[in-house]
Amino acid sequence: MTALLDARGLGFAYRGRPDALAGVSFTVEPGENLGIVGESGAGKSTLLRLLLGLARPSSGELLTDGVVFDARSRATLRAHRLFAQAVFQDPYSSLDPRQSVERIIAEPLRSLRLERSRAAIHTRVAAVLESVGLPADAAGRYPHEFSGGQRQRIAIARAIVPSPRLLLADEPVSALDVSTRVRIIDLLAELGTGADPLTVVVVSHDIGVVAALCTRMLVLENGRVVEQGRTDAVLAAPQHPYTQRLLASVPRLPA
Amino acid sequence: MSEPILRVDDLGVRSGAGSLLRDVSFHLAGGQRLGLIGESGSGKSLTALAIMGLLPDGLTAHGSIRLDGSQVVGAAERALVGMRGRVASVVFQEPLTALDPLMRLGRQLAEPVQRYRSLSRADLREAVTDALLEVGLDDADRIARSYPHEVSGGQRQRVAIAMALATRPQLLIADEPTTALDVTVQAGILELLDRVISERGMSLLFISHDLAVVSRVADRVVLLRHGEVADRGSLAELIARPQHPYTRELVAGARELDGAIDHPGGLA
Repeated sequence: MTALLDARGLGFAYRGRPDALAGVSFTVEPGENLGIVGESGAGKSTLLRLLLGLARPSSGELLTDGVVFDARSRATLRAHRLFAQAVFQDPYSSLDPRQSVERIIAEPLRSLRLERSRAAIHTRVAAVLESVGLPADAAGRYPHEFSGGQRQRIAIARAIVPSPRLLLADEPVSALDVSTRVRIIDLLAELGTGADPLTVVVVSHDIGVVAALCTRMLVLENGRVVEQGRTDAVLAAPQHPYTQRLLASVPRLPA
Repeated sequence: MSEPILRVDDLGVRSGAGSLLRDVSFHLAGGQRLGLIGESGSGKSLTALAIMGLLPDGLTAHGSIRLDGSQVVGAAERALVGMRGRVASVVFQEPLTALDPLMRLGRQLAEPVQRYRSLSRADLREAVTDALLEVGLDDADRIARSYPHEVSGGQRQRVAIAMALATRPQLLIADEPTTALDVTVQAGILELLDRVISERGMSLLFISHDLAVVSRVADRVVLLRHGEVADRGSLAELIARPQHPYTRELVAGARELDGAIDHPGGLA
C-alpha cells in the first residue's frame, strides 16, 4: 500500500537562523493516525507548514500518496487541498464571525469547485454537520452562538467536507476545557472508522491526546526526530532521555 | 484556631446589572494550600483579582474578603497598597505582564526587595542574587543582567515568582502560573512552588483549570462553575469519590487522558 505521507530527510531553516528542522523522516500509512509531539521551538509548527504546502523544505522531499509534493505548482497545491485539510488550535479565530455556519463549511466546496448547485452544497453541509454531531439548524447560525467545543466541531466539519484523505490537526483541543476535550478527541477518533476513513496527523504538546488518538507517534526536539514508533511501545518503554523526561513531566491525578 | 490569613465570605462580583460571581466563601489558614479550580468563565481569576483589590473598572465586589484580618472589599487604595506584597502577592499566567520589557531583571527584582528592607547597594545586590538562587536560577548573575526577552519563558516565570516572594508575603496567589509553559518546564515550576511554600511556611492559593496540575501542589480544592461554588473538599476525597455531577465529569475527563497514556489506542 502506498504511504499517504512519506517524509524523507526534511529540513527547513528560517532566513539567517539555525535549522528549524533537520533530517525529519517518517511515513503515514492510511488509517494509521500519527501524533507529532514536542515542546515550543521543537519544530512542530514548521513541520505542519511543510505538510500543508505553506512552505517548502530546504532539504529532503515529501511524497504525498507516492508522488513528490511540489508546493510551487498551483495545480499540485489545489490537488493537495483535496488530499489534506487542516484544523487549528483556536476555534475562536479560525472562523469568520460574519459568515453563517453553512457558508463557512461550504467554503472548500466552492473554492475547490467541487459543488456548484446550491442544493448539492446544502445537502453536503447537512451531512457533514450530522457527522460532527451538530444539529441541522446550526447551518443558519453564526459562530458566536456556539461554545468553544461546538466551534471546533464546525472547523472539523469545514475540513472534512471535501472528503480529504488526511486531516492535519494542530493542537486541536488545547484551547478547550477538559470535559469538552475528550468529546472532540472521540469525534476525531470516529472519523477514522467510517466507510470513507480519514487518517489524522495530530500535532500536540499533550501526550494524553496523542495516546488517545494515534497508533504511531514521533517525538521532536530541537527540529530533530529523537524517537518514533508505535504509540504503545514508545509510551511503555521510551528510549530517548528526552521522551522519558517528557513523559515523567505529564501532570496526572493521584491514583 | 488562629485567624485565617485569607477569609472570603459570600463574595460576589457585579458588572453593571450582571452578576459574575455569587456567594463564594472559603478560608485559608497559615501554611494551608487551596486549589481554586474552574473552566474558562467560571470566575476563578475574578476571585483572585477581588482578593488583591485589583478588579478592573466597572466591576464591583460585595461580601467580605479579609486578608490577615483586614477588610479588602471597599477598602481605600492606600490600605490595599500596604497589604499587597506584605500579606499577599500574585503570580500570573503570563510573566511578561509582571515584567518591564525595558528593564534588566536584576533591577526589577531589586525594587520589591528594597521596598521592605533598606539595604546598602552591595547588600541589595546580594539579596537579589539570593532571591534568584532561591527560585532555582543558578546562573543568577547572568539572569540579573538580562532583559526579559533574553531569557526563556520558564526563567521569566521564576523571576516573576522571585518578585512575588521578595516582599516576604504570608500568602502566594498563583493564577494559572504554568498554563503558558511547556510540560517539562511546568513540572519544574510546580516543584519550585511546592518547595518554597514549604520552606517559608506560607499559604498558597493556586488557581487552575487543570485538576492534575492542582493535585501536585494543593490538598484542598474549591470548584467554581458559572460564578458559583459547585463543589469543595479535600482533593484526595474529591477525586476518589466525586459526588457532584460536574466534579465527576472533570475527574472522568482527566482520568480518560491519563488512562490513554497507560493504555494507548483509544479512550476508556
